[in-house]
Amino acid sequence: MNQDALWPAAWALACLCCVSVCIVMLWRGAPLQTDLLALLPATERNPTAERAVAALSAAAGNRVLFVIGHADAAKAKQATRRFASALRASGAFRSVTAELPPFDARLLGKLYVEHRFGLLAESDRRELASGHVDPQAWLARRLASPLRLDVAGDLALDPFGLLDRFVAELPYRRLRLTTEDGLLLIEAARADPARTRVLVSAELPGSAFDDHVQAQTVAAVESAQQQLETTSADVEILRTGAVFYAAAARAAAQQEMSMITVGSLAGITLLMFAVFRSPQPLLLGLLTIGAGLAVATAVALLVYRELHLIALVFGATLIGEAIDYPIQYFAAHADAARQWQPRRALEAIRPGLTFALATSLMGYAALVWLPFPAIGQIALFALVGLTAAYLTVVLLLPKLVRGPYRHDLRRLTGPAGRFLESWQERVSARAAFVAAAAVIAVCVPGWLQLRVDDDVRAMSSRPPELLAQESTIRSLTGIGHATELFLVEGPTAEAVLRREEALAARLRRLAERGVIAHFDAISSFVPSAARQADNRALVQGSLLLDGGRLERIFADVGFRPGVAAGLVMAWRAAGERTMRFEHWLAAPASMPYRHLWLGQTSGGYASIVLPFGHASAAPLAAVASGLDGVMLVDKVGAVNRLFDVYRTGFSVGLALAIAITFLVLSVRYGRRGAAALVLPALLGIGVALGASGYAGVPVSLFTVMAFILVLGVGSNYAIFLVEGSGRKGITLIAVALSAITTLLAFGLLAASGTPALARFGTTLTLGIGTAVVMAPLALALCRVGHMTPTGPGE
Amino acid sequence: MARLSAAVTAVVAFIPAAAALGADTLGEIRIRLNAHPVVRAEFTQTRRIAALEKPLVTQGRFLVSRGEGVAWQIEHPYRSSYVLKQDSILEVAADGTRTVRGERDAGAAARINQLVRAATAGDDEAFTNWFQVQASLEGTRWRIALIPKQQQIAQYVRRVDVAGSEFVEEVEIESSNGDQTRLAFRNHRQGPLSADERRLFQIDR
Repeated sequence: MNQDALWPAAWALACLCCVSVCIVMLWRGAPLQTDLLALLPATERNPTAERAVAALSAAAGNRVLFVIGHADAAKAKQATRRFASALRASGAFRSVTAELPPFDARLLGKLYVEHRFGLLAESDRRELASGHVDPQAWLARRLASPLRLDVAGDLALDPFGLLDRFVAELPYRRLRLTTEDGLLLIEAARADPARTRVLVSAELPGSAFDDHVQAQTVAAVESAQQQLETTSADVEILRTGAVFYAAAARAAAQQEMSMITVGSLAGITLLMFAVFRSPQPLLLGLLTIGAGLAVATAVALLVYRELHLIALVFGATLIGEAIDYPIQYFAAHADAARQWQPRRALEAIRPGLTFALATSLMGYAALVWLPFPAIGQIALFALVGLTAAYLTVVLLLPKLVRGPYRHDLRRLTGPAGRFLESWQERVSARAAFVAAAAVIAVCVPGWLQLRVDDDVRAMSSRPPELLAQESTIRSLTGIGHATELFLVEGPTAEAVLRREEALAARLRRLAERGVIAHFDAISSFVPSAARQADNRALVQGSLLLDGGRLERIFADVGFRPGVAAGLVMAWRAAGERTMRFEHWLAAPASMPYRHLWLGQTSGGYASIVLPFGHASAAPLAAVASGLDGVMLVDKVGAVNRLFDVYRTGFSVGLALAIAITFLVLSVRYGRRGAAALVLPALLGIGVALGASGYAGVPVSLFTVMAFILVLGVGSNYAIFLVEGSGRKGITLIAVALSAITTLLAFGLLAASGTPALARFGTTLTLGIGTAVVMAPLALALCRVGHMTPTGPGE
Repeated sequence: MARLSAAVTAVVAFIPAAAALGADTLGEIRIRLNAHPVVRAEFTQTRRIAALEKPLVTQGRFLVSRGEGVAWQIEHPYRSSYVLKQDSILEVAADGTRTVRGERDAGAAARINQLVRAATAGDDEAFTNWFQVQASLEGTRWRIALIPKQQQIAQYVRRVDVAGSEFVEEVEIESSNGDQTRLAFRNHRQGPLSADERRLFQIDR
């Protein structure tokens, strides 16, 4: 086999391998990633902080909550039981719980009672520490209060009510849940007391982002819901859980992907056939696209082991770009007509294709360096896909297109050629400058209104009805949702608890000022050993008076003889015994808060403290400053700041990319020529920016990323036009065809339901559209029209 | 958590409403008790607690307004008030210190409110979810026994007995740990809330 046939054969083989890799991967079930968090980069230098964020989202992510409501209490309960058993029967969940272990005051009393002398409510602690305490008044007040709790079960065990108040202040009170008939009822909130609502929670058998888990869960919930709705009317069913968002995102992405794919392919089929009037260019064009997509998918799967669906949606837009190379090839084929010599023709168009590919690749290569996993995938996908399409055109098409082109395209190329000729004759360089200046002048007022916004929440879209259900469930149950957290670290568990207490003191002051509503911390449930010893000393100093005084006070209030003595004895027996942290952690009562404890880490121990109800993260950052081992982890804020840094970085990168593109192009076209070729893309960027300003759409990292592609892709048309100016009409037709297919794909992307993708698509459509319209200016400015259609090799 | 004791208190506080429950033959009592949207009374509470040598006696005034909530004003042996509203509980100490417990007891307050609405609306079903109700009627006197069905109340309260004629006059609560509480109401008065009473329910947060 000679050299001439070796490379094409090797490439064809490589493509076939990639196709089989894709088929095998799809057969096994495409590893599609739907976790939007996977899009986010690691923001924390502290690995424990990243772990804290992950632990928190897993605690929330693998749980699904349902609320079943009905105006009739009995029907609500009956419906809940039916719903829960339908979910259980489906086998789609690891567990379905309609009853939680009761967080009952008496159970908590049993857990805490033997350690009661070391446990104080914050209000009692303050009062005892103030030193002005009248034990007799405390006793009397407690006895008369209609709000007595008696968690200890016997007044003699806790005559001062210290344990009562400690238990009453525990964060459990914020769970607005109660058990009734073995079910978990939501305490009829202020909103709608006429309705009984029952909570059902279920645990997923795996990750919420696993597609099998998603499919199973959604199907099971759907069928349980249908069953319920047919058997009992007027049932209200609310649900929330990461799995529903992920499933919705997957469905939306799949729909968008097929919309873009079908739309692009239909457009390409129609246009290719309309222009070339022959099935050969169409089929080989589709072959090129197929090769590009197959190789890109296979490589991305081999590198990343999974594909993010956003990468896939974006990948679909590559169809519009990959078709550019075969279009150029068939334009040359059609132009050559009977003088067709595959090799010569290839040499004629190769420089244009190569430079076009180079500028595109530079744009995408810039994106690879971003630390966002999904964007890295997008870039890799594009790099590999475009290169594969290019190689297919260069290596395979000359082997496959042997015969000359037989159709007469003069009806199309004639007018196009005449337009191009008159353009070259009439439009001078000066006129081109004026036109460019006019475009810029129109854009300037828009530029002046530009705003910047890097909010990461713009990246994802969540279906409003799911969001509404989620917020209803949150407000009904009091189950909180935090995006900021404090990470508390220390060499020992005791040190972590002490540091939490220092933080809690500050957070309490914020809560008193109304800056935050409340916070969840493990040290509220189990004070540090030091705090417990301190509490015991306070109790002894202020309440357990000696020398018979305690006996007298108890007798005055009306206690039987021996109660005071018994209390002192119990205090002595308790001695220095401290409630151990593990003791609480092992109790069922700790279940709703266990995710706050991260346990052992590389540097010791760590825990999470969650603040709720704050408007901004700023006061929280101030709280953490100066506290040893305490840091605020604000994932959304950190990502937003990172986006901001990258947007600035990318703006510099864009300038750099413009310079590099200019240098690369000037190798072949000279400085003036290179400037002329870059100009349309620059105008595209300018117009897109101006439009953003006029429309009030803020500039984000995604806008700047899109500009890098506008530069890479938008320069192609000028290059094709200048390179092919010897072929006149057919060149203009080919450029128009390329532009329309590309714009079709990006235009479809602009219709995406994901705001980040939609904005990206809009910017690309506007920028590249402008670059296409402005491409003929390059022809006027860059007098390489006389350049013969030959390669530099001759 | 304070919900539990507050729920017990609710049974006491809202007896006019609670008494409305029971068999249909008590419809008349329901109508009679529902006729008074605002009721004031003096109370004497006698508590027998194992740890106490003699019964603990508390005296004070009691006010229930169907629109506002319940005020429980203790005058003897020391002064202190508790105001239970739909979404908060206010505690006024002898020195006038006001403590609003909002969110903490919102659940309890909401549940109390639910009970009251259930009772006043004649929604026996919601109420009988919580209690087994036994009622008897002799002339103008009636007597109702409430026995908790739900474990979370039953672990605190074994039984509640309520008796009265036009108004509630007696309440007896038997606690699960053997403690007993007896409440006697007298000098019932009705009529719209006065300005002072209205102020009592105004909780500035």
